[in-house]
Amino acid sequence: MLGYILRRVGLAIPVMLVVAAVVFSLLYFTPGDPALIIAGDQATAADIAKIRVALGLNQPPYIRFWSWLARIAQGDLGLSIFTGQSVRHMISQRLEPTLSLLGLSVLISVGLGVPFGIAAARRKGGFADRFLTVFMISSLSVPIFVTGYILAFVFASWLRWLPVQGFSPVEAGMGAYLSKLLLPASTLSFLYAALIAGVTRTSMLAVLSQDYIRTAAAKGAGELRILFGHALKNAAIPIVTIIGSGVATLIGGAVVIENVFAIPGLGRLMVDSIMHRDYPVIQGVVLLSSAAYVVVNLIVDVSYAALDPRIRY
Amino acid sequence: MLIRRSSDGRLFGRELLLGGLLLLAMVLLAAFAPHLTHFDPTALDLEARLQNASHLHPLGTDALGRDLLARVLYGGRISLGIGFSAALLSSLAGALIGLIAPLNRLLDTLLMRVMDGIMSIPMMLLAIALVAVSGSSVQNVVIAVAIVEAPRIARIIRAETLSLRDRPFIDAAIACGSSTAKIIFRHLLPGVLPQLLVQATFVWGGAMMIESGLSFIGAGTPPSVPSWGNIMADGKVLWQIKPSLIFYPAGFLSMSLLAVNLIAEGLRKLLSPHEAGGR
Repeated sequence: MLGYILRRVGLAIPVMLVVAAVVFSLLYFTPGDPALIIAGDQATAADIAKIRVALGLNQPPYIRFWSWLARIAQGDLGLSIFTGQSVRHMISQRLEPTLSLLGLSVLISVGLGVPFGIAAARRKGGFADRFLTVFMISSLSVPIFVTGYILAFVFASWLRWLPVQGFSPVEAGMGAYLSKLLLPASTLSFLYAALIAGVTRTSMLAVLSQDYIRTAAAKGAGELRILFGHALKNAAIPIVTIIGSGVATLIGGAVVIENVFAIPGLGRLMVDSIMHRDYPVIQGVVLLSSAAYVVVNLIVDVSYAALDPRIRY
Repeated sequence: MLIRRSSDGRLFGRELLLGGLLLLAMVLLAAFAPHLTHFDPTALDLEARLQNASHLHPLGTDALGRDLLARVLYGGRISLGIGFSAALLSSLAGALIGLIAPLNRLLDTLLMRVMDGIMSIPMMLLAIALVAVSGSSVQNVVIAVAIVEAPRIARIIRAETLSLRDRPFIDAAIACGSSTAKIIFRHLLPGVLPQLLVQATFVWGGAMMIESGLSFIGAGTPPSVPSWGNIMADGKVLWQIKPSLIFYPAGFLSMSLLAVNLIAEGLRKLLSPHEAGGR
């Protein structure tokens, strides 16, 4: 088991290196000279040359990549061009809103998606099944921010049940915290839950047609016991997979949703950085999100071994 | 042949029919935009701001007095066009990578690791970063979206190529002395084409989604070029007062996405036998 875990971790490292390479090479595509940008209009040629040396811009690419990588590994994500603060500090300030949003979305999506999928698989062609199909088609066809505006319009503007936008940290009270997060998290969950429910339904259908399910039913096992005790465990692997890979969709959606609901999180940071051409921040956020995604998939990989004792490679 | 009845009377290929008609409608609306409205989508008219629907402005005007119908129709050209171009570009790139990767173990490992790496970066973030560094233009958005979507296609085409490679007709081609290039382009490429078509259509939808998201947050097409995402971005600030600024372009975008997804789903059912338990 430990060997399996170590091997999966080992496979993740080259992937992270490629991610780092892609993120690093982004800077090469930027128009203009970073040294010029930092030096400003009034700088002389000597000043610019000094900045070039200080930034290490005169060295060959692979040395620059290596030193950049070394700094990242020590936790130094650089300084923001726009604010001058350390990128790491800026990110840590905005971590709580984004993590809260993502966390609540995952809870809602898994909590609603899995039972929905099971219900759909239970009676093929039944109400839950047809509703799920419509749900899936609409979540694929309606852009996530449109769903956000529809929900905000109905529940905030019209019914006035929930606040329209903003974020309230946990310290300020659970009530405000949850009520402000509910609409954005529900919007994100729309897409994510549809994905999870769809895969759950497919996977459960495949398992429920197996012989051992028929045996359990013939032996008199109740429906709940069959569904949750036998079927779900065996259907779990594709479900866990989609929960993991859906996190990327979730992160992407969070960027847009934070914009719609004015949540001061990493998504907002990303968008602001684009306007200011703040490349170190953009690099930092992309790197961090990718690392998180890789870790999530790693956990999913390891869970395979826990869910299915036959998996040992 | 595409549309037929099954034994229980259900109509097969109904997704293709519905999706095809819907997409045709959208494309025609966009293509004939100059004939459907005489307004310039970028023409400001500050005296006619935020007007409701009228004979002159069938969908009303936006915050700068621009005719909404004109913006939505011309925006359709951009959004549909970007989606199509990105799908085309990513299909070409993905197919090329997927076809040549299985040639050599080392090449395969190298290429697939790079694809894995790109896929590990959440799509939206990578697209934003790419447009941020290369500048806001229609061209850069197409390239960015293509880069983001290509790895998935590459993986799928590679899997198809690997399974086709073991078929007897490839052995026969090798025995006849066909060159590697000929085997790839004359024999393998037609074999992966159905799957490529299905995936390309899915990518068309995904590309439109990404483009609208990018434009919405300001990282997509420049403000002077109307796209559905752009129009919604402009309507963001005033949405509580005049929600039609967001919901009209959203409606068109959703119709197009629905159409493309239906076609993709229909093609998928047509080209691959459905597993038991499906419909």
